[in-house]
Amino acid sequence: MKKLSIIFVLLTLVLTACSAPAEEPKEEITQITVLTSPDYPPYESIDATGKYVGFDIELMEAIAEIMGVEVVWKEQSFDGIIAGLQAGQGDMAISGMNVNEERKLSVDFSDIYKAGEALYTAVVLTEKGYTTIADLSGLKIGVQTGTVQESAMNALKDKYGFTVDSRASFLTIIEDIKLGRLDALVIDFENATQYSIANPELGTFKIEDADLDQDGGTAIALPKGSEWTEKVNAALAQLKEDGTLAELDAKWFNE
Amino acid sequence: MKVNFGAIVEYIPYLLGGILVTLEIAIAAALLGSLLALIFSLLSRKKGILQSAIKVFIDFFRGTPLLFQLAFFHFGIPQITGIIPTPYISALVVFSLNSSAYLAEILRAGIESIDKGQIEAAHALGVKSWDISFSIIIPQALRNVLPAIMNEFITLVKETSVVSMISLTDIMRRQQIVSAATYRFFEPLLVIGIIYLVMNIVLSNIGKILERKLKYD
Repeated sequence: MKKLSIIFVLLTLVLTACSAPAEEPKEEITQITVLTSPDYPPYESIDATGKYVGFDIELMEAIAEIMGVEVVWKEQSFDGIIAGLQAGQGDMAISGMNVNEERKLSVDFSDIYKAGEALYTAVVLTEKGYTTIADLSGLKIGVQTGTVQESAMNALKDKYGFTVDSRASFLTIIEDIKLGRLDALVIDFENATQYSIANPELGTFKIEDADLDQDGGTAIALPKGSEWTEKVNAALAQLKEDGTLAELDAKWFNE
Repeated sequence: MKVNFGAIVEYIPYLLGGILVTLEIAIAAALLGSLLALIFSLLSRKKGILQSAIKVFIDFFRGTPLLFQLAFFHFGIPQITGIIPTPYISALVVFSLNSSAYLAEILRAGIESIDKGQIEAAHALGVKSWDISFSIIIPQALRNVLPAIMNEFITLVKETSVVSMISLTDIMRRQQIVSAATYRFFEPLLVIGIIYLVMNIVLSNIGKILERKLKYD
């Protein structure tokens, strides 16, 4: 009996230790937790010291400054961001995320801070000579899970007769294109250009199809019904007005 | 193949920083998991409800993928209960419970390998059951299953590589982030491969030393 009671005391200890931090009071209003997946330059990446840098990072800091709060960055891989917001793991997320109807079912979006130009650009081996989406017929196309490019390519695959391979990270897709296991990666124009610069054997072309909704745009995602949405929009409007947004855009996208 | 370490050299300290995250989870889970496993293996020696409950627990944690358990605990449970665990707590709980399920089976095998005659003899000599468990059975059982336990610990270190899913920046996730920042894939991958290998070689050598110390002769 003595043995049993000791075991129960230990078990209780372990269980309380596990559940205690969950009972902490919610963060004070002086801080907001922002989720980001820092593997998407120039929107967000890290520098050599591990510090977050990029367009989204500076924009978020500017928004937070206007709202009078401090940003607590929380790293979250892109495919877990919406789940993270729904599970209350962050107050909002900025991660180069494009607004689309499917996502709107699960999260709210702020106003768009970067227009959705050239959302669909293909990265291919230059030597293959592909230049239009019709050339991709019968080929294998890689996309990142949970991206707008993924749903767009799935919608077009029957029309053009290609197959879609969804991966957690487009890094592995780039490697597979170089090795010949995949034929193309579909990604936004900015990233496509960066990949073709870093890998001279790769080229890009813009995907054009009447069914593609090119007008999306990049916005901050918030949990459904978040009280922050209005404040974020007000701050965004101010940054648009005073030219800060245009400055940041020019700084990170060389436009 | 064109390999260029120049591009990633300055990111190596960042990659090495992942060791702390990985070890923190692995060590805490190994300790907590061992403690739970010991409790489970002792409790399940007697038939009854407790034994069946532990069997269900072990079946669950051995029968579902670790990634599922992690996602279920971190993203699923908060939506039902409203309790929001931090990523570290989620990782700690899931890895501890998961490895306790495996370790409990290892320990059970170890305990069953002890000759019943020893226990009967101890009873006959009037040794208390607490002492029979902790001074006679467990020390011998542990020695017999030490290689299997070290195996489980090494597996644990490697399995922590799935925590990037719940926003912990461990070694494996850092490789992805550095690859993205430098647009280079192979070089950071090679670096983290070496990091894991060195960590586990150290761990398995500790196991060998322990084994030697615990030998009879």
